[in-house]
Amino acid sequence: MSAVLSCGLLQMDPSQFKTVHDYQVSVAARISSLARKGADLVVMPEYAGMIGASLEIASRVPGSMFDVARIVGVEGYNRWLDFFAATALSNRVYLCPGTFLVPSNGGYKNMCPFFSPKGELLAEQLQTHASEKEDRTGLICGDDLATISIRGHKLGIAMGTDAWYPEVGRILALLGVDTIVAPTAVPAPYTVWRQTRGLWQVVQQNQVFGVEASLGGEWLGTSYQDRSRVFAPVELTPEGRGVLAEIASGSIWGELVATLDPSILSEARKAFPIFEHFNIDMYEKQLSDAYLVGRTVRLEPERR
Amino acid sequence: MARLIDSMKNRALHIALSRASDPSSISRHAAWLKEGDARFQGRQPVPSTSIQLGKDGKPERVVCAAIQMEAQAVASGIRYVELVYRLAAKAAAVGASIVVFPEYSGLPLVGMLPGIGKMLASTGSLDDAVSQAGGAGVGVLDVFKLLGPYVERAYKEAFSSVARELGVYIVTGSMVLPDDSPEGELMRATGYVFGPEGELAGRYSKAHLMPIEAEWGVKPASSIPTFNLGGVIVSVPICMDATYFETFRMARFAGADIVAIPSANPEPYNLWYALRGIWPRVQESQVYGIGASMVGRFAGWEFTGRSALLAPLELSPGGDGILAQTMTSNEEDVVFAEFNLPLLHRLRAEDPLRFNLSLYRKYLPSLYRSAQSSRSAQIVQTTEDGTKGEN
Repeated sequence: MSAVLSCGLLQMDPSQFKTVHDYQVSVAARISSLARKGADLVVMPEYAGMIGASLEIASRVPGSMFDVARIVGVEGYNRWLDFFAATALSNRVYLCPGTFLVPSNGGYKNMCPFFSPKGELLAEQLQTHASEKEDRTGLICGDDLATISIRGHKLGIAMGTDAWYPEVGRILALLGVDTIVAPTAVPAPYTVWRQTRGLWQVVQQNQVFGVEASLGGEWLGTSYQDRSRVFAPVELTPEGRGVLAEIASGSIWGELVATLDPSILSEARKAFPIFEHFNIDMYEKQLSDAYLVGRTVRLEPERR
Repeated sequence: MARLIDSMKNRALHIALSRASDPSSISRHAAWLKEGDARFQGRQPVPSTSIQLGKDGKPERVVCAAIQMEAQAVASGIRYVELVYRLAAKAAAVGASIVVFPEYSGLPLVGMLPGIGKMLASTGSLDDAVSQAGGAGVGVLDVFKLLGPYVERAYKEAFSSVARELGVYIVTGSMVLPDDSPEGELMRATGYVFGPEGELAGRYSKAHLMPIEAEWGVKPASSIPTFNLGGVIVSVPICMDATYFETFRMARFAGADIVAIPSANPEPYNLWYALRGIWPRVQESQVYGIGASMVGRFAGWEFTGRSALLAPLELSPGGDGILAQTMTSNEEDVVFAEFNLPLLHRLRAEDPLRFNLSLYRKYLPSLYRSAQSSRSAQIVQTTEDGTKGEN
């Protein structure tokens, strides 16, 4: 039986950090606060991992996150991995510190590291789908989805654009995850509908938990706005909204801790057994080849 | 003697059902309804011109309607075609070229079975009514099988006639009907598309069943077909099919610009529960959507839903993905909107979906079977643990 997981979530505004030191102190303090509130796992927004890196090179006036990635490079990424590993270790929490763009093969990869409470790097998930804008900037996608087990509670990561592609959530659910973690950064203005067509619906059609940690405020010329939320199947939530917990509306900063008990997922799955009614013969016959007519993402050369 | 009485009863039933479902009476009645309809006096039913074509001859704009139908029993095909005509004519009167009816739109025809109305009123559920009438061992599917040939001919004739009289494409919704196949006579949740001359333009069946349908013994479809309606490519999965993104991927890749979802949702209305179906599928697939809902109380069920015409967020004026929606979730209504196809194609060109074939090949479809078994085992385990806990 999967374990109950206490999941902490940080929503943050990068513009509030003036120096690298500010960022490190604030992030460490907030993770520590969530750990004291009982969080086993802390999830941070997309790109949160590289906010510190952008402050390191602030004097070189980076115009975009891609500039930051190019200037900081793989070495910078590895240096920040050390910081987050140490933060996970010092607070004895699992840590998903958001994502980090890393230069690769003339383009970029969006990487999401995941640390154990011992500071070990358990997984490095690559974004697997790209929006048109991301594709134009040269985003190179991964073709694997990692799962992480925390005392039997299985997690997967659907970062950024991946949260809007149902294939990602489905594969993770088929792999048996109880919870999908989604670091996101959505440009303003916020609309509930844009968020609903992302992780919310992935959670509903797979009957898993979803944890969306979102970036807020201004960063590198872009304004971000979203609501960090913890989702569950509608049957398990107050008023049937599918929301277990959320950062108060209008807040740019915020944090929360939510309890994710996989045993209650069974109630929803029993009442409405979605997986039982897969039409697998039809998928084998009609779906597999259907994708051949669609456009494809960029992969690393050896993966094509 | 008993056998003779049974035989006479069966013959009497056959005669009653044959009369009630007589296609020529239904067809004549549809023509009569149209003749007396002041809204269409002097109007030519020519839907191919109401689907606006571009300079290249391709369809550009099409007005579509969703019928929100109240479940009710009718005693004959004549009464049924009146119901179908009344609803479809409202849509045709506002210029709709494609009219979509809800799931289980054929359920009223169960009322052709003599005495079923009283039984349903006294028992409150179809299952109870069936077991009371037929005795132990008789199930809902047996009733659908018994009625199948009669319901099918009345159902098809009613929609074909109304489509012809009004000059529109009609997507009939669905009914559990016989499906002759090499495996024998199977029952599927099936619907039809009729063209403006009353011609049969397509047939489709539900591919993902509700648990109760699976219990009855209904069989799922093995494909998601698409249909060319005056140059517009349309697919018609049914209700639960919209819970599965796979359905819409197949429809979109097969060229669908519009996906219609007839539904009959037997639960109290809740916006968020309702949002689990067609709405997210339209968003993730970049298609237009038509959701047609059955409403009202019938045979112990309470059907709810708000029929709607849907679009990707980027193409809806309110940014909510809704072009038009009925005001209530429990009353009969007709709702319509115009779909702009070049606008949809521009959205797809400017912000195309990009797929990761290497990722999918690694996991799909091989994982489906193992995950299905694994989750079923988990549910059984949790149920057993719960039972032990209660003891």
